[in-house]
Amino acid sequence: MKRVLTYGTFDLLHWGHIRLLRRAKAMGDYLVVGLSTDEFNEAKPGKQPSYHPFEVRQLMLESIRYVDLVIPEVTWDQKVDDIRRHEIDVVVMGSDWEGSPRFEYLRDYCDVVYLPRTEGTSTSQIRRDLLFEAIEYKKEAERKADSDAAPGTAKIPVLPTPSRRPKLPPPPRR
Amino acid sequence: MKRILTYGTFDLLHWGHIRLLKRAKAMGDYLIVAASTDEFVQHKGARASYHSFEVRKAMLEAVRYVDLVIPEASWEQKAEDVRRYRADVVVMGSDWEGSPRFESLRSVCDVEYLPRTEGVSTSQIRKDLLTEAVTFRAA
Repeated sequence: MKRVLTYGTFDLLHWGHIRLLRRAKAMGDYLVVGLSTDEFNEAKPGKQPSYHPFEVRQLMLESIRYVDLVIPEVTWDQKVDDIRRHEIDVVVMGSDWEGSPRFEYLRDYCDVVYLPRTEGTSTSQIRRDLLFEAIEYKKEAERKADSDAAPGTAKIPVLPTPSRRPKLPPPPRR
Repeated sequence: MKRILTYGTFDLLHWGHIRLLKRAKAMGDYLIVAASTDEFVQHKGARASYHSFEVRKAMLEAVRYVDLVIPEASWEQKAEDVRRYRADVVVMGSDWEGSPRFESLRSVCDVEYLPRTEGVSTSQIRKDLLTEAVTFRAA
């Protein structure tokens, strides 16, 4: 039985995640997912806290048919242990990790394969898109309220009003 | 084999969706999900879904509780779906409880409503992400 291992946060589960999990599972027979704990993510500089806590992210991953087992990822240094404990044949990551020393050294223990990221989708992208959509939606609601309102009527904001256009952080660098 | 049928948009698949699908599947042996097509979403006057029908369908098919995904293109197709797919039970979230759109199916199958999952919905996620972004201090 060929056993595959991957790592990630898998927050706001999206099509890119699903594609990765499907392709990772297709490389073997049994897929283990090392899921970053909330504490582990907190320790990563520049990483935005996940929307869902670990427990919810775990339950959602376990509902995906390609996933056989979810284990917590609490530290950068557990990978060799994981490979041994779960008898892993191949570690799979998205291509944004390609060449990273965090994974390359694992070639002493198992295969390491990088799969191309899915174009046009990522948790950061979804956050940005939803934000811009919401801003447009609010502007439209205000335009409508302006045309509907009798003179002198107070406007009730539909959504919180930022004092300036909010800037989302760039995707975290590892 | 007890066959379950449910309807929805299932956009930005979240924990509430997963819980519904898990509980719906637990009521029988085979779960069919009718996902609203993009045209139907528009027809309903709802805001356009973030993901296209194809992506929403593929994500649903990745969920282990789901056996089959079919398109929902109109309000009127339900009785025909129940017949074609031999559904024993139609299951919906409790926000639909009592709706004639589903109550009318009691002549052809069982109809059950499951409580929505507190604190999570696609609208809630959209609101939360907006609020987060607005209050996020520059890195």
